[in-house]
Amino acid sequence: MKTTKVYTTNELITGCKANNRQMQELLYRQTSAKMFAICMRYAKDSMDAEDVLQLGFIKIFNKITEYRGDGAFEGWMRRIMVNTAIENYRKNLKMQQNMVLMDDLVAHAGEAPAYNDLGVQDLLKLIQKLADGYRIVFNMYAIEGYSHREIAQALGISEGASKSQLSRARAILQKEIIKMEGLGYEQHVG
Amino acid sequence: MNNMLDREEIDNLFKDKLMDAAIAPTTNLWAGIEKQLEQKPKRSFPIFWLAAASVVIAIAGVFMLQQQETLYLRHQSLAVTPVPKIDEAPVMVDAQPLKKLVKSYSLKSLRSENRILDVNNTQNEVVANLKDTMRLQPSVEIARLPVKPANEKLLAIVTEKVESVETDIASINQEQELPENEKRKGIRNVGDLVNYVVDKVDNRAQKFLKFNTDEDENSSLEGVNIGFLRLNKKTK
Repeated sequence: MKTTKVYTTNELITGCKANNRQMQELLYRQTSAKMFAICMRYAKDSMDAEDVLQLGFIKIFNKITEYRGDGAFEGWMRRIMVNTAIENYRKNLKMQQNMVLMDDLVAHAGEAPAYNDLGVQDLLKLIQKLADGYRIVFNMYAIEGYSHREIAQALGISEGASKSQLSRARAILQKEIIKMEGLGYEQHVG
Repeated sequence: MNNMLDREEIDNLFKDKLMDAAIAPTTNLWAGIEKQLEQKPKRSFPIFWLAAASVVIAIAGVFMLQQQETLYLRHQSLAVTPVPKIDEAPVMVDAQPLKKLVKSYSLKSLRSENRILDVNNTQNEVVANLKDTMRLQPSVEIARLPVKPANEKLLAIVTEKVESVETDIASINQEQELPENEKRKGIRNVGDLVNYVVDKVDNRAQKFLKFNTDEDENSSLEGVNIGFLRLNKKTK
């Protein structure tokens, strides 16, 4: 660690604006884990998430000259990443009409720890098992904090559809969590 | 314990754990990103763009010629009475109305005043006098004579037209200044270049060819407007 010089975020931004490849790589190394977590939430699997991460970073490097320094840089990056994920979702939606039956919405949770001990990976798995539409709406509303109007606009659906998808996503997640809790309890007792 | 999680609990559970989560991607994606960053400038001038640009330039030429024509002011009443050029105008005096005038004058009014005059002599004298005075006048004024009857109305119509055209031009300029300033981001690709050229040539709101260059990787055709053919992507 001591052999490499430590750069401030501003130095990295300036370097990236000048299209300095080394600075771009440093920015990627510093931020890719956080960005990848976002991608994992929106994508249906890690392969899909990697695609989004790659697209998102190329977009970030191409658009970085438009970043004027108003607001946190990480927030700016997150927005681009989320938008890229939504674009990716919409592109996939066009290619495959995903008709998903309610029964298929959630795969079997398998052996998972109890709700209190649920870690990032477990919650991610739950989210990833949701149908695409539910997952995107839940992410945008519950985690990113978008309004139903914004979600409706971004996804090209009605506000009502956004609301109903959110409540169905919640219901599924709740059911799964309780199931996992029960499983944990049984295992604990038995 | 919590068998029933309410909405907020669910939302917060996921938000707290996932909002700032960090997961390192398993595969090294930097190589792929670097590759794509380097690829970009290489394909900045594909054949498709060259073809598109040449078509744009060809049609732009036609547009420029057309626009020069439309600059002329035209009005129906103007076309009916062409104004002769001052220097070249022939000095034409139509004796017929003058003779009539003199005739009626001499026959009616002069006789009624009981003045005995040789009608023919008077007539000739008057005509000769008139011709003399006309010769003395500067030719410029004579040349303008034929236009006289239409002057008042025409002037009103022409000034009205000129004013309305001027206000049109002013409003068009106002309309165009805003979007131009907003969209000026510099020329980053051929799509921008085409837009720039079209923007210079075509003053209409809907350009006859417009590319969307906001997407990073590819610019796409956004609008076409060739008079009879008009396509436009709906803007949000």
